[in-house]
Amino acid sequence: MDLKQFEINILPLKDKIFRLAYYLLANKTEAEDATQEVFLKLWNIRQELLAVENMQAFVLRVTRNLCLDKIRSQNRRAGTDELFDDAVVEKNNNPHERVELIDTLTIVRKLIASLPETQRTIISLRDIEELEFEEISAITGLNENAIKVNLSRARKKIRDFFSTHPTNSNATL
Amino acid sequence: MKEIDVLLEKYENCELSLQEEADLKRRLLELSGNEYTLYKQLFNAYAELNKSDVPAAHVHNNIVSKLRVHTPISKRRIFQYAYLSVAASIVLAVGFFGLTQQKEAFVIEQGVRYDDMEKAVGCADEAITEAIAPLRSSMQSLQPIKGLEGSLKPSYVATTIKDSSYKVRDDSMLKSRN
Repeated sequence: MDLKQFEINILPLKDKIFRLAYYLLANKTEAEDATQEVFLKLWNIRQELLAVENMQAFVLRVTRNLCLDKIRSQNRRAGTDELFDDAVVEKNNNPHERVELIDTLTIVRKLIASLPETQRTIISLRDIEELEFEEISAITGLNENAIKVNLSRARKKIRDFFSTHPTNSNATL
Repeated sequence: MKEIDVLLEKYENCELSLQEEADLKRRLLELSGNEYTLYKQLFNAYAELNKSDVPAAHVHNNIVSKLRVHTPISKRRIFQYAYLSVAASIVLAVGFFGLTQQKEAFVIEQGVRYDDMEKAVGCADEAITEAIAPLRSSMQSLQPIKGLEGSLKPSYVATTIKDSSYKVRDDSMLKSRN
């Protein structure tokens, strides 16, 4: 695989790579560094990539493994640092709605970050990236049932946390 | 229980396909009023995170420049140049050897090769002497024929007279000039 093929097939996945790294590491700068590291790793094994069937799943699996290594090496629980930056929402014209959306995004990010690593990975891959269970299974190495159990727990936790959050006390189910 | 509640319960129990989940989110976001505000906010947040959580613009450029640095094109070129230089050296060596071989002087005489120049010249001299030997011997056999000069006298005299007349004329011309 040459540079041009790499730029066409792999580089467009950078946003997904970044997001997964961001939710796992809970730090934008670290997530950006991780994204670059992932691409260098992939570039070093570019000849093997030609044999990969599901490129997206493979790339996200590499990302997850790299982030978990980083978390282990730093000897911390990912997401507890709560270093998420303020959300950037530009396309909303109504200032009140924009502020509300920024608050909501910040809360949701923190709620996701508070989940155990497996649930966090799965919910970000399903609800944000909108991937099939098959792909999530290829990324996490878990079977479909385990994924559904973890995802169900994560969704219920987020719903419960979100409904009881002080800034969201007036929200109705 | 409303249909949408059933779908939400299925959503939380992960009993919906990806397409069904997308339809449910779309239906909820299209609903007006204060119903299902929590889910609306959550689904809206997920969609917004997908759009807004992207790396900074410089990350893309950094990645591309790093990939270019790590591209082993230079390594491949070095190998190519190495092969080329080896091939060129071989061609030069063969050419030089061939040229020096061609400059060597040698003579092959009756299947025997003489590399020494002096020997070769001597050998050639001998061969020439040997070749003209019959010619010399035939010249000697022609000596008695000189006696035939008398029998050819008239023509000989005529020639002599002709020659001498020229000579005389030439002499007179010389004298007149002087």
